[in-house]
Amino acid sequence: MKLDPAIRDQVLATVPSLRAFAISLCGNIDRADDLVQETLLRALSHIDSFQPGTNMPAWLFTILRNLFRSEYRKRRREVEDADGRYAETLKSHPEQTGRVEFEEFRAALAKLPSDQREALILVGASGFSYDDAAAICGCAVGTIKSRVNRARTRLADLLAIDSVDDFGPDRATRAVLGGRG
Amino acid sequence: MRQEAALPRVTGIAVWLVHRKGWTRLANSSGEMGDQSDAMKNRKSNLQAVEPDSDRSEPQNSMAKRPHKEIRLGREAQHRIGELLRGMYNTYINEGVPEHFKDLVRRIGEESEEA
Repeated sequence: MKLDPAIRDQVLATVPSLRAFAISLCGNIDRADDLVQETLLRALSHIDSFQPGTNMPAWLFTILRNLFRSEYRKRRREVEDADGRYAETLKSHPEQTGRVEFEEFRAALAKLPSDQREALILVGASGFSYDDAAAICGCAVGTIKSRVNRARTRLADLLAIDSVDDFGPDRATRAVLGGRG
Repeated sequence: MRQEAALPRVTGIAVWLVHRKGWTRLANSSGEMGDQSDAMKNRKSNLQAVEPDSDRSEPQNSMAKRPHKEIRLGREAQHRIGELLRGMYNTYINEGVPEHFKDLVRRIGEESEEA
């Protein structure tokens, strides 16, 4: 089947977020790139099963997620970044969060069960609705909500976040102030 | 003597049958079950707590009354986690699209046109 240029552009436009999703799941850029490449090959070879006008990102995310679940999940332990050098492999450095926060958060995210991690990333970062995330993960909307809630609670526990004041610069400020307040 | 010795056993079987068949009215009205009957009633009530009767119609606001098992984070903590998550994700997004992905999609597009 001939690839419609409009569809090709849609696919290309989705690659950055698709890759971000893959890195978040795998925790390893090389493996994430393999996963994205496999997703693109599979998607483009079955492009006739995509219905124009429907949600292209959701379709691609579903393919990637299924590939990850079937193949990459088995090798989860291999991709742990024990040396904490992961951020050095990125071309762009963490901007909004500091380097330490970035590493702490990434390590905490990696400790979540994969179903909770993917639900949180889909809803909290990729911008999918609960309905779309449920369709991508092949489960009920309520299940996604529950997974997201449990993921947030677990992350808060791992990062010792009780409130905004308990994390980040304010914590350091409090330490400097010597426990005032 | 034999009949008296057999009586507790018969009573036990009757209690089991009553419970098994759900003849609670019969058990309550018989008046002969004594402590065993009370024990069975208590057991029934305990079971109801664990295994709610599916036939019983629930009030419409039962969801509100049901205790919430999951802990909900405060808004500030949720906001903070959202910030960190999006910060990490945007870092990945900023990596852009590697050239080989663009080449791959382009090549597949060209091959589809030739075919």
